Amino acid sequence: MSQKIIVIDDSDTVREQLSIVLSGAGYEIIEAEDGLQGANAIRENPNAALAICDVNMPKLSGLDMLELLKGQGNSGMPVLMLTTEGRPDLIERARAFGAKGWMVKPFKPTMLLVTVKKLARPAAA
Amino acid sequence: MTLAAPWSGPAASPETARPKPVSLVTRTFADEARVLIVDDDDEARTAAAEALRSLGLVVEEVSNGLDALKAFQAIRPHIALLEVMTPFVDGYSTCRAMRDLPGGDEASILMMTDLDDLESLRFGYDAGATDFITKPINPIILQHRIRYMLRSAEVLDELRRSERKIAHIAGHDALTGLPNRRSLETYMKRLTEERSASGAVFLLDLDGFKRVNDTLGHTAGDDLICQVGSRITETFRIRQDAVSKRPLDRILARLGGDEFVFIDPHVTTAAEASNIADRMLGAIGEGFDLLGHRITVTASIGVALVNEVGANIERLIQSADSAMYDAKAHDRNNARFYSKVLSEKARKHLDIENALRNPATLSQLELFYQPKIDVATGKVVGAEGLLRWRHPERGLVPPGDFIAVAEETGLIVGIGRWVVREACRQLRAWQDVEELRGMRLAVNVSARQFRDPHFFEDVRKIIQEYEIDPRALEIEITEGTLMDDTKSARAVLTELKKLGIWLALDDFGTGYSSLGYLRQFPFDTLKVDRSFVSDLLTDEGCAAITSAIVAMANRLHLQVVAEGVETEGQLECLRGLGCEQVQGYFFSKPLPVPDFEKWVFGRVAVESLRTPRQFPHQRLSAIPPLYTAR
Repeated sequence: MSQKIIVIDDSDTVREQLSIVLSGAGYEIIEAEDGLQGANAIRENPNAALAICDVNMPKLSGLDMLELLKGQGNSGMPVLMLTTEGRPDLIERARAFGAKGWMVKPFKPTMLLVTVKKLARPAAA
Repeated sequence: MTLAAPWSGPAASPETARPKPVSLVTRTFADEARVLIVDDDDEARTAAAEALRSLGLVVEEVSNGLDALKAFQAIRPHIALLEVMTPFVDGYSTCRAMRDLPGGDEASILMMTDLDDLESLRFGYDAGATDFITKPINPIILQHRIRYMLRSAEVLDELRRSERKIAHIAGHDALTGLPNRRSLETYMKRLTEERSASGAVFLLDLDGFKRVNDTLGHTAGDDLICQVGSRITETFRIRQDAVSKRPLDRILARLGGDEFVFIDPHVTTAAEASNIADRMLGAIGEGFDLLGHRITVTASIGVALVNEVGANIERLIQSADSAMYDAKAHDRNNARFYSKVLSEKARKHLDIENALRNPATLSQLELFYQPKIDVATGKVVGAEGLLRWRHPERGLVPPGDFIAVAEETGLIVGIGRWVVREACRQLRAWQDVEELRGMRLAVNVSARQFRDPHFFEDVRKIIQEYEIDPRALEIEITEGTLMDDTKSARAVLTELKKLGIWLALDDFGTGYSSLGYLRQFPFDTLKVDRSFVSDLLTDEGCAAITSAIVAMANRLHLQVVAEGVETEGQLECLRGLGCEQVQGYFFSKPLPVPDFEKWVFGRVAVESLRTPRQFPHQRLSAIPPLYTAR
């Protein structure tokens, strides 16, 4: 069974790009369009290997989503932030809320895959 | 090895442990060259750091992207040596984020990679990398690469600094450091684009600044301009970067000379603007220390509101400018608001100024003469020459419309020279006419003309040229002229007196000088201001003052002339007070030469004026009046 990755981004283009890269590497993609949908997707798919999450999104931002998950007792799912933001204070907050990595868009597919492989939970877990 | 994070409190690795930076490659950097190394491979990072420290560089080491960004903010390195595969935030992401940090576009970023495929390089350059170096790193090669990069960085840094300096010079006034006209235009462009309903433009001009320059010197004048600039800046807490600051903030700019423009983008009502103008006048009114003296200056302010004048740069400045002229015309030291009526006045002012600048104007000038009558004998003893401008289209321009403009612009100096010359020419011409021979002609000399360094020499030459008796020429100056610079005024007056020229103090009683003070100047005549004469019969105070002036002038052996005599009653009263000479409409208005001559010829036929009385005292003036000498 292939590993699941939750992609949370309000941009259709970004979700599509990620799907192409990740499905090409054998991952199954679950898409969410904002932080709220993302939080639900993470709750509903506790066995997913990784969540890739944007920062600036409608309804609930990526950082707010992280905070919410942390408050609710994170399932332990690793989250990689993928955003155009690069401000150290935002990165710091994400790390404090439990994010495992931060990537600044635009992403390099090979670099993304290297990072995803490094962060994703083993399928058996 | 423990990593030091200087931004996170006291350093874990003490400064002393590092070799002191020796400036080998960094001579022109404002401070020592700083390199930030980002690598989670402790061994590789330490080796690189040691190689660079041995060059005398200050090196900071971190092991992940987030710490790299924080260190970048803290130390602003000249060069960042950045591993591509760093934990938490990868090298490319870190590079992109660095470029977005303040100063991020000024650093060189050298990426360390063992991926040497073209796509990685292209992606790295896109992310903002300056260059790449392949791992494993040879320390010698690294040293050379970094040295080379620092040299380029130095050049770039120098270039950036020069650019900033040039930009600053272009936009700022060299004397005060305030934004100049150019910056003001940039600011006003923003103002007019961003605001249509608020904002007020204040045009401030110091009153009598020229006098400071003339009396204390240009260095003191410059100093005063700087102090005024700082005073306003401090009073209104104006920021240096007001031109580009967002949102729009207050600005103070210097237009040149003693003209400043202050803009408050938030003002909407005249009341608010008025408050600000008052604060500005108050701040300036506190006085300034110049050359060890406390001096007081005043200013005139013209105000234009955006919501009244419209969001148009030129119109706003013009409006504030015409309002400022209005303030100058009203006793100065005040603020005026722009109004349409004013704008017409300002246009007229400008028209007159332009016309006066035209050399052809001198040929349109004329002197009208108003006779001076000896109270005792009723004889015409002289005349005052009064300037008139016969404009080919406008007709006779009233003196009030153009003399002030001529004074303000300095054109009065040339015009005044013409007046002296014309009076002397007339004196010469009348020497051949029996009825007019021996007449003394008086001319008015403005403060500006009087202070002109060539004034005395000009007068001397003109008198020589027309071969007239210097005693036939009378020069009238006002008290203000004396007050401006007592010492040099006394020197000029003494020279004129030595030459034999008759000296009169005009408009006496309107200024501040006491008769005692006047004793130090060699005056012959005191002209009592017309305002005293007009109220002589109705205002007891006026009569008392006039009486006192006449009595004291007599004691000081000064001849007293009363101006503005319009009625017989006034004449009789002045006669009773012991006033020697009079002039005014009761006898004649100022007349063009042919009319004046006719008037005098008719007058000579008349025996005397009413009931002549002998003047009670014997004058002791060094040079007797001409009419008694003949």
